[in-house]
Amino acid sequence: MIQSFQDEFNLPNKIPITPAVPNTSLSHVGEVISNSMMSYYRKGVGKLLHMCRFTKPSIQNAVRDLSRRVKGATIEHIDAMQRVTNYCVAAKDKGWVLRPKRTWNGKDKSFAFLLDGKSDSDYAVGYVGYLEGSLIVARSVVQKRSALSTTEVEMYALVSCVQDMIYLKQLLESMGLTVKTPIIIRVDNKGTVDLANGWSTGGNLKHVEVRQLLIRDLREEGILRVEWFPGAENESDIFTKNTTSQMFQKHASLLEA
Amino acid sequence: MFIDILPFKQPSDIKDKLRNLNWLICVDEFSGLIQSSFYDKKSSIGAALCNYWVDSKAKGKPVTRVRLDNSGENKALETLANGPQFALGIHFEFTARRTPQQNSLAERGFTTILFRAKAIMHATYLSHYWKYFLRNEVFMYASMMHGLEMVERNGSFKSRYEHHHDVLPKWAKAGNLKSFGEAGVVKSIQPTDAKLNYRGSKYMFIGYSNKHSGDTVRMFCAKQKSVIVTRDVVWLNKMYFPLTDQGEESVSDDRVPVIEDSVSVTDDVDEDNDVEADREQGNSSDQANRLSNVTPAVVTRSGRRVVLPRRYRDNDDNDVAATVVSNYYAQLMMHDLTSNEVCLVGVGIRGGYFNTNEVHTMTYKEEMASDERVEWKEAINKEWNQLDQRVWKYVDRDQVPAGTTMLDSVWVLKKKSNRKKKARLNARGFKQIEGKHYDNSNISSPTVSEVSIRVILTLALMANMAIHVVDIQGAFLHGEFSDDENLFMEIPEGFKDTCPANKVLLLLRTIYGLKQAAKAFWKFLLGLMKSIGCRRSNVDNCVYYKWDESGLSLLASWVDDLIVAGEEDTVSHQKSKLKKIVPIDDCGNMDEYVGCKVDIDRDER
Repeated sequence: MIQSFQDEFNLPNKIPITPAVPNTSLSHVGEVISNSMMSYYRKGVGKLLHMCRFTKPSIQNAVRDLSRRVKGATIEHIDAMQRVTNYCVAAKDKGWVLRPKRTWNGKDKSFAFLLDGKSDSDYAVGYVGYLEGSLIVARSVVQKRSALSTTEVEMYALVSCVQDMIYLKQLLESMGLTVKTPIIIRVDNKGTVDLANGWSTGGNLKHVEVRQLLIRDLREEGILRVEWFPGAENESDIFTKNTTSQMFQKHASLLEA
Repeated sequence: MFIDILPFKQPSDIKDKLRNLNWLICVDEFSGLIQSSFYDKKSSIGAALCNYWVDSKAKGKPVTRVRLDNSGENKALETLANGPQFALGIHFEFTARRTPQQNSLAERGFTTILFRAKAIMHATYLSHYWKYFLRNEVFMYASMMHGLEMVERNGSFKSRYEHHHDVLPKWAKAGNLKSFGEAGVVKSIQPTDAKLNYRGSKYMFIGYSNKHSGDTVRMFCAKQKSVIVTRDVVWLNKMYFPLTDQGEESVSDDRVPVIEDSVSVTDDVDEDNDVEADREQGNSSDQANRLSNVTPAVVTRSGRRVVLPRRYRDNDDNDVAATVVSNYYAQLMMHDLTSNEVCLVGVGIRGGYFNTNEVHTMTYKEEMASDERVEWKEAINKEWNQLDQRVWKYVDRDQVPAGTTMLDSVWVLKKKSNRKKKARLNARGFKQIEGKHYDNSNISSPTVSEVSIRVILTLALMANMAIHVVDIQGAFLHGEFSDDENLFMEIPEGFKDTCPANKVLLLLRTIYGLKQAAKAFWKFLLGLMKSIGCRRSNVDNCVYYKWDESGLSLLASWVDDLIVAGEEDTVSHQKSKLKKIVPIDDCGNMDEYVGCKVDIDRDER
């Protein structure tokens, strides 16, 4: 695929350090490009979508931004697509790394597998999930509904993360394995932690619906625990916005090698 | 006759002292014949020109009018030509000040020859230094070739030389014509030389000799920087300067080859409009302009833009405009001589394919018209043998119930990236009728989630399991129809003559392209997993597991690619069990999956 990027795309000569321009997001106004350029654009985005699903988690936010305009892209989008493509070509030796921290004998059904996750939100919702320290899930998605406050958005991010963690737990358990509970999910927003761990309803969040109750129920059952941790250590940060190059390199080095 | 002089200075980046040439160009108005000659000093031009005019007067073709610039040496030329020494009686017309268009034939003659010379230099891989060193030879050669072009004057269609001189030059015969820069060995051994000396050395062809017989050529040796005139040449049928040794100083400007000219290959009107639209788009904003400038793209018939790969773009000297000229030029002068090297500028197939665009699907008709039809036919026959009688049976056309929709099929031919040629018979499934040929709930099938793949890989890493990949051959051909689905298909393209007449095919298995094929294969896979003792995970429908005394073993299916993970013995045991039931390709240890390269580093774990 890297070869096809080189052959079929018109890559700029400048090699970027980050897949997208830091601290920006694509605007959706401007002159719409011609049909032939549009198919060039769609081809690129399609290839990148496959790429970010399997080998390059770090480009997820950039590709998510691109994939929102499969119709009516502008010249800005083409430039952005070529930048991501070029980034992939330049860093072609780096890919999604699975690096479990513990070993297992392959027979012990009572071995407790450790699952943990981190979630964050900004322009989009992003989260990562680990199985024994090996990166399993990394996603950047647009939140499904509009929120009134950051705490609420973080809540939605947390819920998305929980969905995937529950899927992982069920998958492992369906194969007869054991998962260590509670699964710990870490969020860098204090309000969200308090919201998830308490039973309060009212105030500015009285409109938030059943989604958060899911987390509260799971916590009562002992499956899940939400903890706070400093945002600077949150690698899901790069799935929510186009971070600065230092931040990007710091986090991406944990995900790819 | 139009006359002009172009002085050539010593280029600053060449240290050797080159001759400062004055390039004199004389253009005949009637035939357009361009004659180039070179002089060290402008003052020596006068006598040479006058002698030439005297000659042509003697041949009965006197020059009557000459147009030239209003300069001092040209005034001197007039006095010399019409003076007592020559007394030619030529009418001199001088151009007005700052009006070069009045001498347009000569001025354009310079451009014509200069650009052709550039194309020749490009095609012969001359380095920067040799370009300047050999410039007059190249200009001379280009002018000679220009004279060979066929033009129509007064209803007769012949070369410029023939229009002007009535005869072709002696060298202009098919057997004598060579392309500039060809290598040849010139015999240099003398009877008195030692026996074991080399008999000759390698020289480069740089032109013909006007003063000798037609087969006499001027040969140049770069080592000695010498020119010899000889007819004793053994042609090597290759260029003197090889492509790899071109040693070009890199040109640092951002000039990018513009292939607008070759876009005209598309003859479809709509396509052309599309291209036009792109160009207009390009002018609309600065960004867009930059984009269209750096896109040396050819728009194919289907509207796809084929971009030159970046590794070929860095060398900006691949001036495609020059290539077009030189190709045309090569055809022009190489009537029945062939030396492909001149035409192949900047093109070379290296390991694997030149461009990923080559790895694409093609249709039966396209391939049967191509040069590789024998290999394709072989691939098709191989696939046919896999299908015939196993996947369908022959039925008389009369036995097909009335009103049945007949399906048909196409061959899809694909070059795989491992250079294999693969043929696949695809049914045209869109002709199937819902409810009759397929059930709408059966048109999709599950595949493994990418999360599950990573869970399996992580588990396998933790337990230090072996991870293998197995590919099921002809996967969809194992799928079976539901009881009430009877599908009839016409005999495929290419086999209509060899199959029994008046028969159609009743499908027994779901061939590729049918709506229910994917789901049917997945059902087949479930049965397969059951028979080797694996259970399906309740969460991911394509993850299968098995516990035994050696521990956990896992399987996952991405359509027909299976991951098998487990203890070394278990994996080989399961593969052998699979092999008994279906034909499989054992890809061994996982190094690639779903188009991704996989590196497993067990020490780092």
